[in-house]
Amino acid sequence: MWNYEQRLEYPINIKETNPKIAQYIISQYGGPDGEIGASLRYLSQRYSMPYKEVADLLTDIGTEEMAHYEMIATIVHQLTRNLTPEEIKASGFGPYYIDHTLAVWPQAAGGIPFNACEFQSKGDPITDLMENLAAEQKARTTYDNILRVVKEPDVIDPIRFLREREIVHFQRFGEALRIVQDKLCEKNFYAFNPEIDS
Amino acid sequence: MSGLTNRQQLLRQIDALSFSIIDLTQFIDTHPYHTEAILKLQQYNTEKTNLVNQYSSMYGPLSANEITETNYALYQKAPMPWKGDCY
Repeated sequence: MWNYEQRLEYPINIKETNPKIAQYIISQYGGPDGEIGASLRYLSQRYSMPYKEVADLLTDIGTEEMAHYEMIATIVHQLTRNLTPEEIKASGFGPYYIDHTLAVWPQAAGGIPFNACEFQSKGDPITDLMENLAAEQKARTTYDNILRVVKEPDVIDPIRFLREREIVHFQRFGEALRIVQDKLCEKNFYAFNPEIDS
Repeated sequence: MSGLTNRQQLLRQIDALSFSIIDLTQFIDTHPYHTEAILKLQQYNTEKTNLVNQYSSMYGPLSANEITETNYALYQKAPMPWKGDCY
């Protein structure tokens, strides 16, 4: 169950529209290492996770990721609101506009639609936590790439906040992996899969 | 927090407390015996409830949990969060 609060996790106030950088940022909405993929990954993995503390962590981080895709959508919306046809043509935003007008839709920077094949829910705690550790690093790299090419202060302030959360979540998933390994056979972590062998 | 309205300043305080609650909750998931963190979480939860009640009575409910007969009109008029402070 979830509750909705009418506020963002972190405030976003972008004064100048900029459709060119909106096309970069949208990758963290529906791209290969984006926030929707992160949320669906953790919230899907938790059902078969046998350890309560790790299932709790997947729920809590998966929930925060929902607040993050709301933040990314907000950045895209504020960068593209009230654009004129001339601005759309001049910025290279035309192909996106033709399909989605000024609505927000989950796609990668290159236009590839969001796809569940961008994450795994594998049913093995070591496999899934390793996937999550990699996912947090891939998202952090994407934010680094954005910060290298985007310099607008109103945009990079929330992007820096989101980048920092990738690092904290990487730390938490690392701790979760240690918790899981402590519960397994210390001579062979792969002797059995606790999600299916009992 | 200069240049912000009283409503925005109160919302920023709620944002900061809520963020501490999110971060501490995840920390406690992997540190279940960390009493200091649990006490901090308890303190922030109380402070957030107080501020959210204050905000709801002045500017309208932040979520469906705070809706009353008297503040519902404010709920309908509340700015959508993705519009930002400037709209």
